[in-house]
Amino acid sequence: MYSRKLGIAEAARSGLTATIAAPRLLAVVWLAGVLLALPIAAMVATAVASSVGKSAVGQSLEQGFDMDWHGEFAHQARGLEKSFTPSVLVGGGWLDTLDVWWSGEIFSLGPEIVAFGILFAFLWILITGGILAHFNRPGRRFSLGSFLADGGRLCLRFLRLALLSAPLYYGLFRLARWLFPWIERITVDKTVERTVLAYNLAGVAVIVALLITVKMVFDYAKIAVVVEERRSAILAVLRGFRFVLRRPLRTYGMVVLFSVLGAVLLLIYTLVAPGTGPASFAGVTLVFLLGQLFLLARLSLRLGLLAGELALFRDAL
Amino acid sequence: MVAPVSAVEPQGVSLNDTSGISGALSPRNANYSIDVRLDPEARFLEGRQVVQWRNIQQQPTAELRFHVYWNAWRNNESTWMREDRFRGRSDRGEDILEGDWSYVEVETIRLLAAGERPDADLARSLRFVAPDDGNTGDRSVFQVDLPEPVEPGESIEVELSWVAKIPRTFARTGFRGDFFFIAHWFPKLGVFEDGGWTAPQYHSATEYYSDFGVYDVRISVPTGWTLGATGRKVEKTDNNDGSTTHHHIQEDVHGFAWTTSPDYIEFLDRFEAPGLPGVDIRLLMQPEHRKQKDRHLAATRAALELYGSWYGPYPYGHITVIDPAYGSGAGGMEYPTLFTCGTRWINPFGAGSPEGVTIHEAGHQFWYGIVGNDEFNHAWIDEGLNSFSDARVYDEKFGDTMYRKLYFVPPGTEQRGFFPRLFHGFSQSRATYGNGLDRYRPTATSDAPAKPTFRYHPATASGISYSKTALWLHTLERLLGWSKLQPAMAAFFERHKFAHPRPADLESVVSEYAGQDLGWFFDQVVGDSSHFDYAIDSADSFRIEPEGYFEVAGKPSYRAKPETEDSDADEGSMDSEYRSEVVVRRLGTGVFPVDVLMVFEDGAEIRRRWDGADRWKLFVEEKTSKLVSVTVDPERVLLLDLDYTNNSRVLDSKPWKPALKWASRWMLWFQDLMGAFAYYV
Repeated sequence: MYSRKLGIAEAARSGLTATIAAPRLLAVVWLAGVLLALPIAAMVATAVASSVGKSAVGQSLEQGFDMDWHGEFAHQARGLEKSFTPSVLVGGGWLDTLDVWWSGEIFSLGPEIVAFGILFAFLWILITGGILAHFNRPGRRFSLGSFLADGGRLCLRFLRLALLSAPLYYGLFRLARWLFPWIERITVDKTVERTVLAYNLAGVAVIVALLITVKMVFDYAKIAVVVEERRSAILAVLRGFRFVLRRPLRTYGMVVLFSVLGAVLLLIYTLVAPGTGPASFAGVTLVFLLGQLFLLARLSLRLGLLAGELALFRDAL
Repeated sequence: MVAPVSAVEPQGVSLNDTSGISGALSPRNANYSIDVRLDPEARFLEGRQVVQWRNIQQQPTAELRFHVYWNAWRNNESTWMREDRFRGRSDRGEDILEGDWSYVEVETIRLLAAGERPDADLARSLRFVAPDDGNTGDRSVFQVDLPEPVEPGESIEVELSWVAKIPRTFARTGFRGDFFFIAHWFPKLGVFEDGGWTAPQYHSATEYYSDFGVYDVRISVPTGWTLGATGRKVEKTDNNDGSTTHHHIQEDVHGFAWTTSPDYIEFLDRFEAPGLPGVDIRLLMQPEHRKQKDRHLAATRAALELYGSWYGPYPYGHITVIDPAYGSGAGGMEYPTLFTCGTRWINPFGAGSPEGVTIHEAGHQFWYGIVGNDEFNHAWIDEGLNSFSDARVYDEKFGDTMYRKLYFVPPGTEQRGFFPRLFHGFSQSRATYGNGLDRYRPTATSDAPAKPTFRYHPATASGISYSKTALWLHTLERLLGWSKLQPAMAAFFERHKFAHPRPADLESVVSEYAGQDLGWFFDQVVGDSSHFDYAIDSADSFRIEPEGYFEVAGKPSYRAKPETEDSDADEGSMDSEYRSEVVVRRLGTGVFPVDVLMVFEDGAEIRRRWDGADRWKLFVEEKTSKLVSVTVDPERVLLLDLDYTNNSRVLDSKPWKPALKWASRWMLWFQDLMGAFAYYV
């Protein structure tokens, strides 16, 4: 049961509660990501092992990191190997991800990365249907069969939504590539870095706000597809747009709230994330598990937001 | 209006005849007296100058060649612009707005009367020349004919008036807002040597070359604006038109740069060190960097102290350190008695900046400023010696650096990220990072340093001039020892200060102090584009089987394998249990003597020397202990080795362990990144 006029905190709590109550759902979604990433990580591991070979450098890489080796590795790196940089090897490289996410530079990371990204996006389209259908189902009992069935049933509709959103994101990133050079031109005679930074941050605020808006509209469009059994992607998008337009405080507020929670989580992980120290088998395992725990927590927030948005939507029915 | 050139000469300095001047450190054969006025609104300079030039060569000349560097940015067809596009910055021309271009127009040029020689107008013979590439679109060098030759030892005076449009910064000179950095701005003589003028066109990947002299310069800028300039300020006069004229003089330099802005804040400091002359340091900073004042001063002092003690004292008694405005592009450049650094609003200590750039540019006062080699043809001398030295100073004073990444790069722009993050645990050493091995690696075979620098491939010139030289100097340091290299460099400095040394001068002095002919080394690292790579091709250690034919009493005799491997009788019959065989290869074209270090299970180490000349060499050791590891060049003397990973072999290695460790971390990022892709659907 949902109360009328659900507030931001209540919706968020409702979303998080629903997520925590669905550990198997969470596990399946997490595992899907791991299963996709594992073979790709194995390719990178093979490249590292091949580069190190039987060299004594292997020992220094076990004890810490060897920037001299990395210089040689980077010089010969091809494809995925180019992404093996120090900045992504500590703390999950979340700053790197954030940097390319908001700017759209994620699509300039190289064809291999982008291809895997598109593959994962397709997987996520399939998964999202299962997730939303689960949160929308009375009683919310999870079964892998119904999760996959729901995902399969909804995936074509969600795919159509993704195809509708693609030009919007493309336009947004084109806008960014116009906006920031424009900012560069209007600040060309500013001699204080802080001033130039302020202009650029204003530009980022515009781009991120638009990113969030597009994302929200399409999230609510998906929710409309699930809750109202809509088949028309265009009408679902219009429904999502109207929903956001009529409840800007609550819809944006919840995104902000979950973003803050995400930032807190990042801060905690950054503080506890291990450095480059020695690599015993136990140590490597611990670092890996700690990282996966962090990703699981992030995933919980992501699902929590979806469930919270669903709660808001249903509350308005 | 530009005030006429003052007839009053500074005390103790004669612009008419500087030969034999008491206390002169240099030949002072190219002396400039300049009056210049800045129009900050129009971004214009108006100047008048008298050049007093003395022919110190044995040959006469009937022509003069002047550089007008700013003409490199007057059109798209200049050699500088063509080469700059070649460097991979092809979109630069499209970004240049109408008011960003620059030029220098010489309005008058006259040979001043002296003795029986009458005044002569040289303007009619003025023509632009392009000695390097014949590019008719290039106007960076002009030539005038003299009515009669200037004989050896003879002096002339030439007066020029000119106007110049200041560029939006190219090659570290220009404006941004009301910040001005003015360098290579006036018509400047080339160097007359070997019977001709060395005055190449302005090239994208090279710098400058001039004779030493006295600069007496009056600069008029808006009243209230701070001015920093080469030399010492002798006078400051407020004019009644809202401008102030700053009068600076400097002897024994080969250039003059200045900067002005209403925003600078000034800090004064004094360098003192035992055995070295004191130096007044004047630091002009951007207000938003004031908290980094001490870092800039510490780095400047470090350079003055260590360069001074290693090579020779800084003789000028004053130095001006400029922290340029954000985005001005003026940072990281050297000029006589003045240099620019470069920092950011957020710039935590540990990544090498601004300390590194400050040391480097301060160090150029020695290599470039005092030892004034020809940067058009041999840029590697000053850039390389200085890169080697600045890395050494940084290491001694500040230690290793940490890997840094700048985040938040506005997309579609040329800007760099605003927010730095330092990565602890990813430290970078002087030997490789400091000397620029990663910059050298992709350029290793691009050009031989001996080639004129302006003919290097523009995209790879810096890897050769800066990094390769620093790496081979550090290699020499490791080969000969600092106790030999340092006196050699000091002798090179002493013998060629206030002069124009050439590559052979460096080679001869280093060989002299090394006590050996290092021609074999210089031929490869300067004379050729040889690349170096030694590698362990194979390493094996196996039990010597007591089965087979062995010499017994002068005859081959068959001995059967014993029934048990650890037979006491068998062990007693053999001197060694294990034969260790190592093949070392020379994969590169360069040859360098290397050590091969073999380490055994019992802790014993065997070191063998190899002249490194052949393509491969087999090393065999028979010992009672098994080989554990082998390394060619274990001390990494040869820093030019492009692949040091293949220099070692551990027989019982487990490469999957580090691979697992680091790939599992990479996977975490990859999963996060995939999540970011999923955000868009």
